[in-house]
Amino acid sequence: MAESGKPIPSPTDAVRPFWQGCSVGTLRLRRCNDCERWRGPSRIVCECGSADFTWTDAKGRGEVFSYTVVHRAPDPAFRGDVPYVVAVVALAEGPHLLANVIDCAPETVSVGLPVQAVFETVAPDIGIARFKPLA
Amino acid sequence: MHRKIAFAGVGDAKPSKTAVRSALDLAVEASLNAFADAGITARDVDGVLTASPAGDPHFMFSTLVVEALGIPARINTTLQSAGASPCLALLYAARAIMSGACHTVLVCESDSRGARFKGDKIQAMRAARPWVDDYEDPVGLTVPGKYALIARRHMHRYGTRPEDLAAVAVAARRHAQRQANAPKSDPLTVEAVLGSPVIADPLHALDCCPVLDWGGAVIVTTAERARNMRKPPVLLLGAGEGHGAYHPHEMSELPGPATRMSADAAYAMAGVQPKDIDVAEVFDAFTIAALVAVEELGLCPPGQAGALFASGATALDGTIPVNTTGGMLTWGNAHIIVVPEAVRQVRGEAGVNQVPNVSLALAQGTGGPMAASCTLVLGK
Repeated sequence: MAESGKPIPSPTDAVRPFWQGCSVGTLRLRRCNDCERWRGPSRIVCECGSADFTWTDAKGRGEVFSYTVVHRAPDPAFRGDVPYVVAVVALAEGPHLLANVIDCAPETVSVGLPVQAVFETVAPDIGIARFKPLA
Repeated sequence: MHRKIAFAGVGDAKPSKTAVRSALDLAVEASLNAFADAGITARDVDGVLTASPAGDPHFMFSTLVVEALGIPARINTTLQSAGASPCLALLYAARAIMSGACHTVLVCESDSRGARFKGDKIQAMRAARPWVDDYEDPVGLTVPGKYALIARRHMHRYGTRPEDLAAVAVAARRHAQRQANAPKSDPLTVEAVLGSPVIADPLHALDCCPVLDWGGAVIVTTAERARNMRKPPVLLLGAGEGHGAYHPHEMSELPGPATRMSADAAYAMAGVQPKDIDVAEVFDAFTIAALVAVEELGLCPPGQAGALFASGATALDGTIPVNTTGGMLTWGNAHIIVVPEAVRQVRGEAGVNQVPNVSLALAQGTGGPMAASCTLVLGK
């Protein structure tokens, strides 16, 4: 639990580099050593079947694939944030991420909106990627 | 499996907003009603498959049911695939019976969060999800939010409007209004749905099911045994399941392919096509879920379900009646509700909800944001 009372990720070693990357300002994802496809953060094994990978820095750019504007907070810790945007962002490299879209009015968000990652460190070695509209 | 398995008894727990009952109490009540419906006792059952109750979990829940009812179980376990659990349990029961492992299985599911949380949905949802999901919870994604992500894609791909989603709630309410004991029965309009508080845009409060207590049970057995039970057998003609990723960010499209996969398999086994279905009971914890389900089930072309619900085609006298009880939008997050109602429709016992001349009834359940799905086709 962060100071804000919001839940924070508690990754195991298997996925720690992803959250660690976010804490130093980079989107670090598994990239397949066999077919070079990028994997989403919850995918251990590639579409091609390979489990072999290298943690690789993505560019941190993408576009909104889908989104919702949350008005009813799931937890008192989020009450001060409503309405806030939770989006599925399609990264330029292929994988999708769940992330807040910030620094814009929720009504200006749309499917296809180009976005860029910004990062917030919420605990030692744990960062959260958020996205803002690409300037 | 085709025509060799029958659903021989169905039962519900009596709804109440005030009586505090545990998930076990509700499961037992529904099971005893299902035994009575089939004209059997717990001693005639030799298998139990339950869903893990949301918000009231217990170590080995199905074994508590075995204990309470005194069932001499030869197969017994608890499934946790959220809203897909009851339909999956029925399919797995059918497979177990076909294998010879057992002959008669009790499938039940229940939810005790209504009276306990007095309708507080935030508390009820938190109780159902006591863990922290590293991807969903730090960003404040809610369960309605997950379905809202599906809704937004549908709007983007097909031009679907919030009015189309609201039409699903209005259609459900019309069916609820026919029943004297329905927990929601006041008239509902599209304007009223759109005027209810926004929960997770584009979903409004009235796009989401209430949290109420409920329980449901189904007796699965061989077609041969069912012929000697109290009610005319309702045969399992086709069944299928489909699965994909759990998280919305790991699906290449929203929703994933689970519901379509399950439907294709069920229709293939039954040897029927979507146009042959006389009545469909689909998962409708959220309006968008039912809207997408009828499309994924092939009951209307992609992108046209909003117009289908608004046109009256899903009413009891329409071309494809859907959710004849008013569904989960009326009765709470009662995933299993689709099966007892489909059985009653085939029997001709659905009372004020009865669709005339039902030969084929479909029941569909899904869990997660349509991440795991199961479709059943029932007939005579």
